[in-house]
Amino acid sequence: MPKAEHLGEFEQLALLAVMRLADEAYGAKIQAELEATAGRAAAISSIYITLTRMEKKGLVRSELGPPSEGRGGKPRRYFRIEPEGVEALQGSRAQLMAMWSGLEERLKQV
Amino acid sequence: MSTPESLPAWARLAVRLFVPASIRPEIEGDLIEGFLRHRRASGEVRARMWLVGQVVRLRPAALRDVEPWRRGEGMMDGMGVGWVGDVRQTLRSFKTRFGFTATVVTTVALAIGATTSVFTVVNGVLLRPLEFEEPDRLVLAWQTRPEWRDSPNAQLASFAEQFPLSVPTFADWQDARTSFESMGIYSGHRWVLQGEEGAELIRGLVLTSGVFSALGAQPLMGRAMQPDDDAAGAPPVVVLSHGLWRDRFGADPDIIGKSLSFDDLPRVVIAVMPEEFTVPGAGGEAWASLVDEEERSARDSQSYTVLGRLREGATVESARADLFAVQERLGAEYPVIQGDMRARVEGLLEHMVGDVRATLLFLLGAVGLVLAIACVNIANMLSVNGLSRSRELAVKSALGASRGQLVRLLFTESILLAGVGGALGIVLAVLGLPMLLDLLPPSIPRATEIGVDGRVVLFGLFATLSTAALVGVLPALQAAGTAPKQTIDATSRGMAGGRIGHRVRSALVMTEMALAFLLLVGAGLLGTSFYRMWNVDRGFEPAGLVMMAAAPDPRAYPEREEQDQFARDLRERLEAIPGVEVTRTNQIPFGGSSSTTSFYLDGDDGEEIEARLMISVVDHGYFDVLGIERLEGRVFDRNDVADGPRVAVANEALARELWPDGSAIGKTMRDRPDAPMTTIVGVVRDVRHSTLTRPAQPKLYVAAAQDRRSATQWVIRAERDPAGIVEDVRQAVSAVSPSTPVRTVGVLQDRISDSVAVPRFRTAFVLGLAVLATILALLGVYGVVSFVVSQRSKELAVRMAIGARPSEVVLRTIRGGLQLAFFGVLIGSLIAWRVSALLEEFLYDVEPVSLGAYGAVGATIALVAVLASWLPARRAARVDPVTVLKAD
Repeated sequence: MPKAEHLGEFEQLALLAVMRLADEAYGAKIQAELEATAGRAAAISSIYITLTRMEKKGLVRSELGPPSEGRGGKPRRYFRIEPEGVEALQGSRAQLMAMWSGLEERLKQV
Repeated sequence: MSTPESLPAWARLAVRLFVPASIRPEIEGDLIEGFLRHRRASGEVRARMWLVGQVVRLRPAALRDVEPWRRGEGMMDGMGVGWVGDVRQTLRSFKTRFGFTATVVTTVALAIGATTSVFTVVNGVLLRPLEFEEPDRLVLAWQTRPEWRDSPNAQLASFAEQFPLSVPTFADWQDARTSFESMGIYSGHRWVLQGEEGAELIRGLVLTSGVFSALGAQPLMGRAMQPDDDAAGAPPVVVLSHGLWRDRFGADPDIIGKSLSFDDLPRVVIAVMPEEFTVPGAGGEAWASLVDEEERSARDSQSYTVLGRLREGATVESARADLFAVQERLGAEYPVIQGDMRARVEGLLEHMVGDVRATLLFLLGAVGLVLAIACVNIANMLSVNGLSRSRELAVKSALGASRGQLVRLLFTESILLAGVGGALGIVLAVLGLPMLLDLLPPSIPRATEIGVDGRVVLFGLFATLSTAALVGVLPALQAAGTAPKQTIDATSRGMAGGRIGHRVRSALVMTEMALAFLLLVGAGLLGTSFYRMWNVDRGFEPAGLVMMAAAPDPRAYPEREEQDQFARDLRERLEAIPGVEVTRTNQIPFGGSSSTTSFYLDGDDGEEIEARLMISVVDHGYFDVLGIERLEGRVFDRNDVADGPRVAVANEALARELWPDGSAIGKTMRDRPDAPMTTIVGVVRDVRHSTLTRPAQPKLYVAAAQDRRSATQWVIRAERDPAGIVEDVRQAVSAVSPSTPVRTVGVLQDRISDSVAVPRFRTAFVLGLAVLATILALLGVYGVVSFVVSQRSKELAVRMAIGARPSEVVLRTIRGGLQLAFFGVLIGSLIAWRVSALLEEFLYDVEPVSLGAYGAVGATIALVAVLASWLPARRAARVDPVTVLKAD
């Protein structure tokens, strides 16, 4: 099995947002989700740049939708997470969990 | 206040500026959606602040990399992305149309490569200035003798334009000079340099200091030659070339001031010249001062060429006018020697490249034609390719791409194709240069100057850009004429391109054929000419002959008697080489020397008539060894001894010229009025002497035993490979006399071959280009006919469905190809006829306008057209009408 991609923090957030939104994962929705759930006010360009980078790595794929209401008739670009993306997320999560393990008690003491 | 569902104008502008068009719609949509959401939630002001934050963080540089989505989604391709986008899109399209791209790029690369290669040679030989200060002011000058211009005697004819000067005449020129800043004279010379390893022949010039000062050349070490060195009674000095100093004297740092024995005359070395120095056009390994005291006053000893530097502002014409005046004055003063002498001045570079200029420019023109054919071909390919993409272009147009954008896209494509091909071509030219230099005839002047420099690269770029412009115009115009609706409709009905497009493409193919016709005719005529030249009757059998020249060292063999002994000893040595026959003469055919002498014979009225003849001093074996056929009488034998009756053998030309009505046998003549009469005892076949193209001149063979001229050139016929005995021949000379240098030795057949190196190169080159042009023309016809067939597949299907036979379809298609060929050949013939004069100077025994050649080439082109249309025609005839008609 190839080594799982190392994900940056914002990459993890973006991937998680795409997963949470499922069929509704497009730019503005991802932006709103990041703001609402993670409290991050991300720039729309950062979202595209990051997701594109991950698309090149095969972690997500995207698809242009039809012109849509509520956005000046502009099309939406829908993102979907690929199995590789899920794997990368799991890897990052496992890494964090490993680092966290045994620290819960000490955190309480501080 | 912005209208619902859109961004404020400033934000729209920012998005337009900073977001690549490929992802602009979705990002703009997301921004609208976010903006509306924030406005609903937090009000106009907060929403605007949010929007400002978004716009400020657009990061255009990073966004430009966000493009992978566009792959395969092509709807908005090439619209408003700018040149960068066009380029990217084009590069991507190259990948998907690899075969097409590779064909175009290869064609461009070959054409630009060939053109740039030839230009590299033209640049080095013709354009690069000589490596001297203000080289434009350097000139050569000679006397002229206009009345000899039409002389049938080749030597006299060449003297008509370039007659050497005597030292006194030069002194008069120098005294009177007005247009010259400095001038000197030189004359080719060969010395025997005696050293520890034996005798060595040194080639060089005897010259005056003015040659160096005119060139402005400074020595690497030592002192420059001074006017004092030219004066009568001055100690003999010599200037060494860098090569001689390095190879012969081991780069001895103390060579200056040493004395060397040149032909037994001690000369002091005063200078060594820098490595790159040479006397242009004359060369030499050593340059020696003028010491022959007799020559200083002998006005009839004329053997020098003038090299001078013109004064600032003076021209070749003004210099010539000055010298003309001096010559008229001298003519009046010395009517016998200089009566009819005039003067000629020529730029040094011009003189050096003289003969080659025409050939090189001709080749550049020929290769330019190939480039033109390649351009036409590519334009056609792009045009056809553009049509097959017309639906794509029409869709783009329907989606809002302006005509300008489409034209730009197609033009970008042409420029990229030409650019990549051109760059490859320039690389090819650079890499192929050593190969080209090997192919060049050795007689090309300034071959060492040939190399890639800034001008060559500029030329390559210029050729590339011209190619891009030429090939880009047609498809771009086609795109400009695209009307979306009609095109989409038309394409579905299979009628794209229209009548006009078809005509333009046909015209291109005709042009291509006309150009190919020109090259083929040129190649055919040159080829025929070369064939006839090479197979001309030489009058002797050169295969298996080795030639060698060795004049006995005058120190060891000062008297005639001793020189004859040397010849006998050398003959013995040479005959000891197994499987050879030996003979000697004073001038071997193609050996490089030819001289004429006056002879006198009794005319009908008792007066003596003077005839200028070439004299060949030969021994009794000469005619046998060279294989020269005896036509009448006898040739020499061992009984023709020194004190026997004087006999001679005439060649056909002589017999024909002097005794056109009767036999030459028994006729008498003499070379001096007081000499004993020589009787002609035989007539032999004419032998070509100096070049294959020049017919034999009147020639008299005299017996070596009976003539005072020395016969120091040897011809050896070898049974086995002549190259194999060259070393034996050389050793034979040094065995007889170590102090006698071998002047030349080599295989005679090679000499003849070298003498036609330039025409052979020219012919081979043009032939190669013609083949290339024919292949390109074939591709061109094939492309157009294929396209027409594919466009008309429905029509053909209908025809076949209602009963047309496949053979009819094939014939109809071939007829289309033949029509193109016919007009191409017609145009080509007209151009060929108009420019035939250009070819004339390169042709031997062939007329520049030859109906036979035109016909043969026309037939070839027709054949090419038939072949190129037959393949698509066959394909058309094989289509299943049902399949084609169901396709919509």
